Amino acid sequence: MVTEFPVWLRVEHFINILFVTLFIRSGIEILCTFPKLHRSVHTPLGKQWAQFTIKEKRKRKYFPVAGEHDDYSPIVSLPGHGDLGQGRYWHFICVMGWVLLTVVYWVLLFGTGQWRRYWPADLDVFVQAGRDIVSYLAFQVPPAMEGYPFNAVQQLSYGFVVFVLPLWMIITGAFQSPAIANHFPRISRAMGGRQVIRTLHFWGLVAYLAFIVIHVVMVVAHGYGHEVSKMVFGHPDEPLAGGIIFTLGLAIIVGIHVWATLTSTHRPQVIEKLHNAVVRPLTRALRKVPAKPAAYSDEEITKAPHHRASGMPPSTQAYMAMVCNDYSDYVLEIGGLVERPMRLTLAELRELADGHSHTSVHHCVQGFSSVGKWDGVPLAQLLDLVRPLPEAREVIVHSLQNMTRDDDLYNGSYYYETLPLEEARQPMSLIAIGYDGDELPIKNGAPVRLRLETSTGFRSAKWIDRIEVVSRFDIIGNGMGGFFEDTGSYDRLQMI
Amino acid sequence: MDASPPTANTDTQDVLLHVKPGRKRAPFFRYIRINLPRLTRAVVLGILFLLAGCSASVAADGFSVFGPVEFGGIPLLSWLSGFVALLAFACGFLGLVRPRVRIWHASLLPAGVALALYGAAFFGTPVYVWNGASIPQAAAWNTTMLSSVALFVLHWALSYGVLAAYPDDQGFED
Repeated sequence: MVTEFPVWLRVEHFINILFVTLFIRSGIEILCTFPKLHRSVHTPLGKQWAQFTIKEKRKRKYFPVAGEHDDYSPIVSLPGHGDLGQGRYWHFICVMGWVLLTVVYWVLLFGTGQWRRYWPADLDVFVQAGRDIVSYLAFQVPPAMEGYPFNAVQQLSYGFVVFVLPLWMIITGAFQSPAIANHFPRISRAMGGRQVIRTLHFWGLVAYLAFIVIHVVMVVAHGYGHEVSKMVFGHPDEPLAGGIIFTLGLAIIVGIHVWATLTSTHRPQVIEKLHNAVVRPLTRALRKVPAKPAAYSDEEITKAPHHRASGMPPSTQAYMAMVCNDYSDYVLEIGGLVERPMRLTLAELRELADGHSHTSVHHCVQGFSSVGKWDGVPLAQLLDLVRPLPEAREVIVHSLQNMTRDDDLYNGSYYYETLPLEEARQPMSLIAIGYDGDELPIKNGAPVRLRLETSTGFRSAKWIDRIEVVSRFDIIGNGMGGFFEDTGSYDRLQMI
Repeated sequence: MDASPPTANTDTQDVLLHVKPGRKRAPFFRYIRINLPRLTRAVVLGILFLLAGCSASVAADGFSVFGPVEFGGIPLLSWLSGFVALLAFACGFLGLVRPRVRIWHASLLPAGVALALYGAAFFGTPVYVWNGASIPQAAAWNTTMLSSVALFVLHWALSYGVLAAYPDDQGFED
């Protein structure tokens, strides 16, 4: 009978409240670091269809995307104050738990026949749902359908939330992962590109919020004790006890949110460890998935001055002199645990590149995207030239950028990024020396930058000074694998 | 993040808008700005026609909200609801044929009259099921109230800057 509420269904309903509320708050945190929604994969300035910020950017001074974040209250975002790294940690921890929960739930639904509870038996249910809506508008609560615990509107809305919305969020969430989107570039493009996918994910959030508001109002309208008694005991006969137990359960969920917020704010390493234990199996697997060239033609790439960028270029006289000399005195050093250390000029790199280029969608960790055509030398080709020694495991890319000196948003030493040899040897890992047939724009990393297409953008270090092959990365910097990994809550495995 | 000083140079400095002195953040709705002008205008027009339709339905039903008060054999509510329907339809039609007219201002007139009528009905016999109305009659009656409230909310959102409707837009630059 689909009038029953089995124990597993009630338990799932309760855990779902926890996950969905954590999702909403951490999702809003992620949104606030690039609080603009676009329809174009190029994220052109001023063309957003929605924005959620009170910040007006400076008009006549260059600003990187990193400065676009807003400071949301912890009441609406987890953990609040624009802490993207912790927000992402929470979102991805919830992804692992919630997707597992949802799959188990679906299996149980179909295994026990309870799926019929949410699935309209015939098209008449839609007609009945229309009548039920009219009843609600007349301030009358429509009766339950025969053999069901709820009316037609409830069945259709629950069916939407149980079957459609989770799939919607899983797919639009997954395709915001650079590893997945760049491995399936045609599907990503068919879905409208990164910004449309981000927008669709946002509408999923709106749908969840709308459902929660209407659901709660309806629970109250139908009788709080009566309804939550079903959620606790599976029947409506214990409204008082059900009301007390369910309200206590909600208080525990609020307590978990408070704990999550305070722990993320004051002891972020605790959440980092939790994230690494729960999420890294997925990100490790995704690291093995190679990127493929983007499904955009040369005419569709983001033209050079408009490819969005984060980070400020080196502000030294030496760098400016190099720019003025057309980088003729630039030399890229490749050394460390290699048989043949090398020093390559830009001209030599161009010769090695021999016209090689690839087109890719840049996925910023904050959420913006652009389509770039990068000219350069595959990193694997350079590694073959210098021949790493057997004990070599990692590649470190050092940047000319000093964060304290150059960037008005961050403090720290020189920017660097590390990547395992496995990632460095992926077909689309590139040492880029040009953009769309011309030299790299300064803001995009001139004269030389890294491109890692399975990762979020910040791992593609710009303004490269030298490359070093080493046996381990945990003794470099603060030992976390890169500047943002060292100074913020960012995992080196940035595949999602 | 601190509020920008009033002397902030907007050419070289970021500015936080709407933050009152002594506060860290602006009011909640200042953070939301939707720039879908044509869709927003279509929604305004859609609600106006919904109000017109429901008011016409209420007028046609002839429910005696105000007891025996009638003119020409027609109950007072029918006259007034018919008036609302005419106003709402005229506003909607004007908004449809004149796309540059900011119709949301004028929409407050039928919405206001409809709300006043809904409120005044509490002094008589409102069109509710428990007062003898059918479910469709009560639904139409309540929808006049809900659509009027929606028009007021939309007008507020457009004035406050949450929404923009054609021919306006949010004028985003960055």
